[in-house]
Amino acid sequence: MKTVKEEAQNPAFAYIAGRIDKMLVPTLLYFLANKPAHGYGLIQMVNESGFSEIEADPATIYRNLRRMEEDGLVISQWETENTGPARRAYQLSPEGHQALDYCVQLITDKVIKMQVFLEQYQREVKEK
Amino acid sequence: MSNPQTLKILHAGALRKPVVECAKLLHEARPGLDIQLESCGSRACARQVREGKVVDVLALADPMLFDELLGPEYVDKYYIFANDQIVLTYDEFSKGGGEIDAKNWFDILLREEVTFGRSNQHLDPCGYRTLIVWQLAEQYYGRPGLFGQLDQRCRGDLIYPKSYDLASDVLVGKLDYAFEYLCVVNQFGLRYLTLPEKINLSNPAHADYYRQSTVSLQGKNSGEMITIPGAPIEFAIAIPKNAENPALAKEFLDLMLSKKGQQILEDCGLIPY
Repeated sequence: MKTVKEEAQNPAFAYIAGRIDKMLVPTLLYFLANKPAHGYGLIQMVNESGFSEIEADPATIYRNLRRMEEDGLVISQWETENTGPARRAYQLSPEGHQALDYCVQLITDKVIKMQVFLEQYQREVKEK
Repeated sequence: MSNPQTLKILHAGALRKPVVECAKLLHEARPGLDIQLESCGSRACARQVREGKVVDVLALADPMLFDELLGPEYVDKYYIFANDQIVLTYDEFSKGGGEIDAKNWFDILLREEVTFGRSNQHLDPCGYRTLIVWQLAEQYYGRPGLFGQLDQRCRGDLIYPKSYDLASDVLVGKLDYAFEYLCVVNQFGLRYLTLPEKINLSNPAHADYYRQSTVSLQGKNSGEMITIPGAPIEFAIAIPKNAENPALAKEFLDLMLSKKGQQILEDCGLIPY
C-alpha cells in the first residue's frame, strides 16, 4: 500500500490534497462510491449533505466531474437503455476508490491534529 | 424524397451558436453535407414537429417539452445535455445601468422611462421561466405585488416570440433590459446582472423552492391550458422518430454530446453535462 506522501506524487491526488479543506471532491467521491449518479442528483446530494465547504452550484460540480474524469477517477456514460430522458451518469473507477481512500487518510490526519489542538486548548487555556 | 446528404436541424434560438459551431465541425468532416438550420422558440419548435414538420435533429430549451408535446408519438428518447440561468441583460446605454444591482433591479425596471422585455411564454420557455423568476422575486425580496407590477409594465411589443431576439434589441438600444439566458447574453457580449440563485432557476439544489411557482400555458390541444411548475433550466436534444436521415442525425447528436461538444457548449456560456 502506498503512503500518503507517495500518493501525493500522482497529479490527480496532489490536486485533491490541495483542495481537501473544501471537501468537495471527497464528497463527490463518497456519493459515487455508494452508487452511480448523474450531475443533477449529485448537486442535490452535495448541498443536502453539508459536507462541502463550497456551494455546489452546477458550474462547479460539472467542472469538477469533468476534471475527475480526465484524471481517471470517474467514468461517465449516457444512459441509453430506456426511453425518455437520458442523462450522463458517473461512476467511480478503481482509481476513484483509491482516491477516496486517500481522502479519508488526509481527513483522518486532519481530525487527529484538530483533536490534539482542542485538547491542548482545553487543558492549557480554558482550564488554566 | 429526402436527400441523403441533407441534415435538417430545428433548434431553440438560445442554442444558435453551439448548434452552428457543431454544424461547422460536422461539415468539415463531411464537406458535401447540406446542413439546414432553423430556429424559433422551443414551444413553437415542438408544435411545428407535432403539426408535421420533418426534421432530423430537434434541440430544445426545455426537456419537459419532449414529454409534454412530443412523446411518445414523435420522440421516444432525448438527451439532457446542459444547464443555464436567467439573467437580466443590458448595455452601457441602458437607463439606470450604472446603478443596477441584485437588490434594486426591480425598482429600476419599474421606473417610467425604462423599457424591458421578455419572450412569449406560449412560444418560448424563456418566457415562462421569466414569469416564474418574477413570482419567485416577489417572495424572495418580500415585495407583495411585484409580479403584477412587472407584468403590467411588460406588455404588447415588449413580449417577443423568442428570447434570442431580445438580446439583439438590447444590443441596438430598442430595449434597456431583457430577461435572457446567460448563454445568449455571452453570445452577444452584453452586460448582465446575475440574479440570486434562489430565483434564477440555475441550481437543482433549489428545485423544491422553484417548484412553488407556476405558470399557465396553452397545452397540446387548442383551448387547453396546462400548469407548469418552476424548475432548473436545462436543454435537451433528440432525433425525432420520423427523421429522414437518422444516421446523420446521430453523428450530429454524438458530436454535441462529445467532449468536443462539451467544450463548444462551455465556450458559448452553457454548463455542459
